[in-house]
Amino acid sequence: MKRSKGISAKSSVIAVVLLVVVVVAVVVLVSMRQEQQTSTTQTSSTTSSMTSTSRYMPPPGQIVISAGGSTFVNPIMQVWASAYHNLTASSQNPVSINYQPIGSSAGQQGLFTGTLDFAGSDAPVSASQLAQYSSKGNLLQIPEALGGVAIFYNIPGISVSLNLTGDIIAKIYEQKITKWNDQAIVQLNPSVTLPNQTIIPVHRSDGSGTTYALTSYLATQDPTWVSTIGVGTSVNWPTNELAGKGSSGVAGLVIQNKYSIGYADSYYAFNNHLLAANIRNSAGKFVQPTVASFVAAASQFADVLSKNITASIVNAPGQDSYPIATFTYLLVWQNQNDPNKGWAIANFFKWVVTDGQSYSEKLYFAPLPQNVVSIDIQLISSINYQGKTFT
Amino acid sequence: MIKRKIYDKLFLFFSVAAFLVAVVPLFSIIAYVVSNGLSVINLSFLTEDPSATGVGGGIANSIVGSFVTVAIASLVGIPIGIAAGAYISEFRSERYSRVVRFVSDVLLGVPSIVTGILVYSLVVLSLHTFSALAGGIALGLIMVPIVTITTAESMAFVPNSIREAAYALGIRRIRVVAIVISNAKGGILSGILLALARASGETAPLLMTALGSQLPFSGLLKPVNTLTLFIFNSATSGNPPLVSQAWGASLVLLLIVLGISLGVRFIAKGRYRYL
Amino acid sequence: MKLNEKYLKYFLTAFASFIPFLLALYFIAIGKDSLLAFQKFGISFFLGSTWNPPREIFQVFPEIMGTLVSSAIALLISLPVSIGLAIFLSEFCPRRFSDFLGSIVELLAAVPSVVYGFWGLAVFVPYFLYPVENFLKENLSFIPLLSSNDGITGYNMLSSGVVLAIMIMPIMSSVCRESFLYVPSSLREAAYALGATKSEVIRKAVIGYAKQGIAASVFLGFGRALGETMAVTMIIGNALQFSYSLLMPSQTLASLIANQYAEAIGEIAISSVIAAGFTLLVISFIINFAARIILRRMRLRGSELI
Repeated sequence: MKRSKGISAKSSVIAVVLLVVVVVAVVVLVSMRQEQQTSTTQTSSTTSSMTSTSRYMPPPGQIVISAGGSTFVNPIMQVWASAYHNLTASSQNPVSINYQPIGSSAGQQGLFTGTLDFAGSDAPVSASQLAQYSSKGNLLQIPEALGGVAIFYNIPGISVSLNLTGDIIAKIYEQKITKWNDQAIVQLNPSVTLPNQTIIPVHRSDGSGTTYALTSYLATQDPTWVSTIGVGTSVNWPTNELAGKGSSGVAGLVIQNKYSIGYADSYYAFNNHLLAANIRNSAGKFVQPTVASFVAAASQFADVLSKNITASIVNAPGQDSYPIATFTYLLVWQNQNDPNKGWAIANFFKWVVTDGQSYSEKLYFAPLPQNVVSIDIQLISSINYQGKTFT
Repeated sequence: MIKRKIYDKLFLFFSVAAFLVAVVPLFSIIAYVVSNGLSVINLSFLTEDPSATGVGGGIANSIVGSFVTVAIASLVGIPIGIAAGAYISEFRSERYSRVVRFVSDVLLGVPSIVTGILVYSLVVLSLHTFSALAGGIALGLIMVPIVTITTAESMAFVPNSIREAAYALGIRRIRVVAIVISNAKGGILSGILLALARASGETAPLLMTALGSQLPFSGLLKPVNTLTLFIFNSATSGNPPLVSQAWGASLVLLLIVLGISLGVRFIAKGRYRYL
Repeated sequence: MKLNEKYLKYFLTAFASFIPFLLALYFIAIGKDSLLAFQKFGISFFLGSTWNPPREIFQVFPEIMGTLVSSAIALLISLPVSIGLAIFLSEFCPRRFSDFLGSIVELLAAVPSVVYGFWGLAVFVPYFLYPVENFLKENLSFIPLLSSNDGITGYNMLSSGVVLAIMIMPIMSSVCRESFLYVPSSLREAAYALGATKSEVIRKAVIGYAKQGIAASVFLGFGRALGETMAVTMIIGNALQFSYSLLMPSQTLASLIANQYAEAIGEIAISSVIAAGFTLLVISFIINFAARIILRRMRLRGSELI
């Protein structure tokens, strides 16, 4: 009797374990088969394409790309990824792009360590970084969207856009201006009754191209900024300030905290119904972050950009220019290791800088200027696998 | 005497107050998750993948991702845990067995984010990709000590008379161990369930191993989303539609985890509550 | 037959050896990757207060303090509440309700930490803790621990300590309750027979006898609180500072890692984040090691698992 009880008991333990094993085995098999499919067909078609042209065509099969980085560009990147997936769904190479908004710095690191296939970054990669990873070949930095950093705040009872200057924003983050009814702010906003409340500045806890754009602008407005807080993706913030992870983390903290102020891509402000400040530009006008004011800013830099595609476009001259406009970049290795991924990335990029631009305005991004698009297409056409290009 | 009476009353008051202080927040959590989550959950929320704009869509890929990572974790954690637990229990006279037992106790206390770092540097960096596999391995390493200790304990509870009877019948030791395991099946099973509940609720190690994804599950060597990652990312966004989706996902997660824990309670009848 | 037996032993020993191997792996793999940071910063990695990626200075004193202080706050709140709850359930509540309520509280230990964090972030801090803390700040700011020269937000050290307290309360109270249940009824009866009142019985006989169980719950709760990541990351405010005021945003080792692991660029930054993980590993190892040694000596009947 003991024995029979023992067997049934044992079998129930075994059954649970078996169930798990079977489930995992199925999952493994399915995913292995997918990979096998692409890899077997890959070898045959590589040989055939080698004889015909120097342009690579992938064998039929789904291609999945892992990417990540900038949270600034995330809203539009998700729309692009899904639109491009739909576009390619019925072709012989459906392309799925998984873009994770983990911050520009994390995206760059993912690219350097090879854990991501491409990265989104609002800050160009520094020269020292490039040198450190030069053994991996040439890193392409391709501007793919034009946006702006909005300064937003949460002051109960105030439902108009405040006028602010770069100098005031800098002093708020340096904690030289600590109250909303500070004389400097009141003077610019005579029609608004500002509360006698302490300003709670919120910044990014992770490395961010948005921080880079903001700090490089503030450095032009406040002579002490470079020595106090500095310019970069991660900077020397006063240590007692609140910080959120990602653009959405900053927006979340501003929503949660009365009398706070934060910065992020204008999408995060408008999508969360936060008010964005009018920022005084170099012509002395107060300008909202809008698609038109981003375009106006970028158009001032046409010549500069044609010489250096990663040139900064903050503090633009011109009446209508928004002073904290910025390009955001796609980062990708010029020499790809996996021809199928390379093919998918290059064609996706080409679509993004051309047809994909039509999605921009809805998400508070500006379409790329034409001269930037043509530089982009040149850069994209240089992406290759062992000399074979993709577009 | 009156003073002592007052003491009595004070004690009653103190303990009732402690009861209320303890129970109110705990029920508040359940109440908020249920009331905010219930309105979000419907069929399309459970069966659709996230939409590109972050508004609408569902959490299907997160549910699948949680399931896949926990399945991989089981594959790592359960066999190692049961075998190690059997060793600790059946060779308990050996010094090494006591060492293993002690080390599993210590492993139980390793913060899960440290496990995340370990798997990031060993698996993610060498495979050159964030992946479901890496996430599953991290969760599996968290499961190992839980399964080990519960197996060892429940096998130790099996009366020695059974072992002796088996030996007396001339049964080989491997069969004896099997018989002991089968007698301890309830405890082992509840240990497994306990480990599964813990693994399903983990977030920190997945940040740096599974990464997260908007896409449907597409292979073990690709990043995946899990329910916990979805909750963390959506909850901190402050974006109202995403936050309410996070409540919905929290309810789904809570049902899974509490369901498993109820199972443990049912099978184990009150043991293993402190792991 | 002999041969078979040997194989079985080898087989099980091989699997069991994975466990010491894993512990060694934690220390070796994580230690190796932290070496660069330890070499560069030396002891100042632990004693300095600057975490500055642009200047490549990485020091974790504020985070070590944040980890210890937030866990200590959690214990300070959770211990009396847990003991009180355990007394209520074991001494005042009828047995039928006590088992039921006890099970429900224990069940709540399984709620995932990200859900606690979410609730804290969206409900508990803004609607409950923030008003309380604001009151403390307005009226008691002469106490350095509650001082604040400007507005407070609710996302700070005190709040994360309170949320941690709520998280570790179920497990602490059920360990306490169990140790109370094991107090022999003869002891209680003897005390009553000597004319002791209920409060005296509880204080002298019950708590006195169950001291070890209470100590066990403290270790267990402290260990849990030390390594908790998600809830803390969502509530502590993530400021890289050391502040004497509990009302200022701070950071713990675990939340530092969660925020910085991916953004660290360059060898020294990556190594420093991993070194923060190594520090956390060592702290939790010491606490656990001590706890196991002490608990081993006073192992409770029927609950060998603690």
